[in-house]
Amino acid sequence: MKEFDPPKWALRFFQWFCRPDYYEFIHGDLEELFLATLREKGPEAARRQYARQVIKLCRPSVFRKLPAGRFLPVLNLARHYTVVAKRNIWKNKALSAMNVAGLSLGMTVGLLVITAVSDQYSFDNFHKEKERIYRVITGSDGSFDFASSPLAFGEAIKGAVADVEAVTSFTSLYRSLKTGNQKGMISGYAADESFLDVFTFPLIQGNPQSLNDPSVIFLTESLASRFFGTGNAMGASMFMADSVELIVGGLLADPPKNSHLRFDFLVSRQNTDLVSVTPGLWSSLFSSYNYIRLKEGAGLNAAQSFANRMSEMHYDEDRRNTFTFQQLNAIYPGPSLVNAPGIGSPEHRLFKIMGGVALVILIFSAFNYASLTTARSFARANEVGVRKAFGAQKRQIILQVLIESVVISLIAGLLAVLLLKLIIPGVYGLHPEIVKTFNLEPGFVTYQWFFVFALFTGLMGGLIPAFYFSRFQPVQALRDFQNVRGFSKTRLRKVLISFQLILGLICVSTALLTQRQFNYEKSFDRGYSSDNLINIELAGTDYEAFRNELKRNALIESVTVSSNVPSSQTSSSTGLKWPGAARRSSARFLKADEHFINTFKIDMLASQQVASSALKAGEVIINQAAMKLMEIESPEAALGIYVTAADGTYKITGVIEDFKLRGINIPVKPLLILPISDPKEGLIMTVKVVEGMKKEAIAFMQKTWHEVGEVSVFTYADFEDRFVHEGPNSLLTKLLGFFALQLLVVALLGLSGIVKWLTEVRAREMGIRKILGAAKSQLILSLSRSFFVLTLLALLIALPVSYIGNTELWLNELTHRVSFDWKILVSSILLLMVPATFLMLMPTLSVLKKNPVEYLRSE
Amino acid sequence: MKSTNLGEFEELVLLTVVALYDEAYGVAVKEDLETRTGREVSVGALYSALNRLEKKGFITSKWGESTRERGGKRKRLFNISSSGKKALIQARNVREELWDLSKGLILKPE
Repeated sequence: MKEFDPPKWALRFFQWFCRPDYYEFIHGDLEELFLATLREKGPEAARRQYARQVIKLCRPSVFRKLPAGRFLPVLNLARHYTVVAKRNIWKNKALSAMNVAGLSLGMTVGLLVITAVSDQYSFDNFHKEKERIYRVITGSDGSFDFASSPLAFGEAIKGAVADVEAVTSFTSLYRSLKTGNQKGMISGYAADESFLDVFTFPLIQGNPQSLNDPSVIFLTESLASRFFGTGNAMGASMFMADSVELIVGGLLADPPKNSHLRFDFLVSRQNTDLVSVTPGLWSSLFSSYNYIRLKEGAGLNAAQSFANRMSEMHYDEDRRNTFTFQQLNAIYPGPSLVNAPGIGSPEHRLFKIMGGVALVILIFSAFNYASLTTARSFARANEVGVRKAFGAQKRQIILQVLIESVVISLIAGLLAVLLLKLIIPGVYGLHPEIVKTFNLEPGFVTYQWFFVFALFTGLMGGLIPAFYFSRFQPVQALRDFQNVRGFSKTRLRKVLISFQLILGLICVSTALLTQRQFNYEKSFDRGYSSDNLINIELAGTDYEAFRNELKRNALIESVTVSSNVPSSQTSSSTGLKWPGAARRSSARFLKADEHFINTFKIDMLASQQVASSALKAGEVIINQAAMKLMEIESPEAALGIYVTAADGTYKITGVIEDFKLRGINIPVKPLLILPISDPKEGLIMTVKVVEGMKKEAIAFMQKTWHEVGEVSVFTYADFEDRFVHEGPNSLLTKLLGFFALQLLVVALLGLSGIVKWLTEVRAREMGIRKILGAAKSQLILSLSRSFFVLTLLALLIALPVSYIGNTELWLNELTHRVSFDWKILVSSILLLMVPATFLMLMPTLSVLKKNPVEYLRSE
Repeated sequence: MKSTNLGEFEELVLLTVVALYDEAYGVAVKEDLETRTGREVSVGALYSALNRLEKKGFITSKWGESTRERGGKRKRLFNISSSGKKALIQARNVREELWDLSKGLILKPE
């Protein structure tokens, strides 16, 4: 009867620490107490009580005397090693500083990546039943998957499958919200009461049930304080999309930064004034989401077979959508899906590159440490020789060197943490995307990782020197170290140096190449002009008066109002049907007024109105991709055709070139530009200002914005800024450049350490040769020959590897790309070699300048 | 002998040992102390006090009998020594002197 026995561990522990002469009677007391408590309060309490007593018995008077012979040698040895390590570190301050600096630079990058990656993997961990929550995703034609699914699916599965415990369905909204004199565009979800049941988003005030009431809105704390300050928001009334009145019925905590769902408000999806998605419609699947929670211990099988049945029942065979379930933790980071709610998962490529580069830098700094330490073998040979002569074992030497490197790497680790704190703001500043997706403040778990990481780096860096030193022959090491050939020019160190140079060259050339590709993409003719454009957020304002004022001003060339910014990735999708088409196809669309085409200077390929691109009601302008989708041969042939899209039938009156909304290597989707039918559809105003007058124009617009009686904040963005930061390439380029720079610095640090040591070792030789009449140039050559041979070798290996690797791995996949040419080769060689040569020559020259007597006297 | 003062807890333990006479072993002292003072006394705290008392020479100890509840382990019985008695008397004297001086103030109605 196990539960009627005291806990085994406690007894064993007590046995271990209790002094033998006390053991019997205290043990007896403990057992007596255990039995008494067992009778009174049951086994649970008795076991707890027993453990507590044992722990409280841990005090010097009860503790046995530690057997001196058992622990002291180990403690002594450890102390001895630390003392020797400390002395060695202090004796070579310059070298140790270089070691620590190099290691900590490498570790900073490693830590940065650890923080970023562990942050990414912490996504959605705060949901209580996260293992049982799944997102319904829709697959269409097997070509791409949508993160969204029709509301009808959620309605259907609710209650129909026994294994499904709860279902929540919601649609995303981006609407204007107004109260008193506050106004703004806010995004959130139209959800149902189970939203707060399935997900763990704490409700601070209010009742989750009221999410079924169409007139209710829940605000997040930060939104509430933006609109109501410190006052009480509950019960206040607000207007959404200008006319829909809502009552604040709940306050939510802000969704954590590591939530893939992001929202500022929740409203009821029963509110038909706001929700445009028709609940029962199986074809309406682009902006609604379903999440399910399974019963404990239930599998997906039943739900999946139900989903398959639904897909067969509700879609025709030729355009069947399929439903699958995606585990909550697989969403972020995860595959990139179309129409992801909140924030979409970043590209996997980014992760891989970041991890890869961090690993390279880490190996690099560990190697650096190894080569710097082995370089000092000359100085350490005596020490190791003495140790061995006294009978030190090989593994004792290994242990000692490892302890030393771990000590150094722990110091470097501490430094790296400080450094990380310093560079975090800089890293955030690299790219606006970073602030949005990463939380780089290291937490407790991350610090634990740091520690493991520092230990690991120390071990890795110490391994090579450890085995190297342990191989010393004591007699040789003690007798005449300089005569032992092979120590100053060991093959090992050559390999290490060339390896560093090779990695450095590969990284620098890759960084240069991506930079060039990025610049190329930036200046690429995208089919429209983004110069001097400014976007203004309209927030559903009545903008007529404002626009008229702007038109009158000489600073402004033209003004257009549209539903989306062409550069953003938020244009909506719709079904497109044309005469002769068997079924609807998917196309993107945006709504714009008649000035859109000439404000963005998009090239017209064909147009019905001579020299005009005006868009009237019932007309549509399509791009070439849409034309190809409809299988029309020439732009002229497209004119006059009637198509059905979005909310009506339109006549094609113009064909424009495929202007590239997104990255230039992303295929352009079919796009329709429809006329704005209701002023409320205009969400963005784009203003083209006169060249060089941006500042003045913005000041003027700001003033006018308020003069025409606007109450909301004037929010604008420079189109160029927006554009430059869009697309994954800019983020990648910056990170790569940042990493390459780090790598370069670490490599140069290592190199300068080695060179400094090498010249010192040979200083005496140089002195003698100088006295015997050698020319300076001869000496320099002799000192640097091996360095140049290594460099040449590194070049011969690195450049072809970098060339083949870069072109094969990514460059060739792009349609519009730059070439990897001699300019990149030369500039990467220069970037690495100029400082390297300089570092090499400095100590050499300083040795040669000095009077040879100084080196020779000490002998 | 390093010090011969009696700490507050030590004094309580010592008095309990005396009160229990020849039944003064770990559990008995612990339980008696707990019921009398109403505060929990861990085995560790008790033995560290007994240990100190023994070092100061205030108590002596000898092996007692074993019982079934104790899984056959013997008890350690504690007994007061003459210097222990002296220390108790001295502690009491100090206390009484102080009481005589201050009882007018302590017992005076507010």
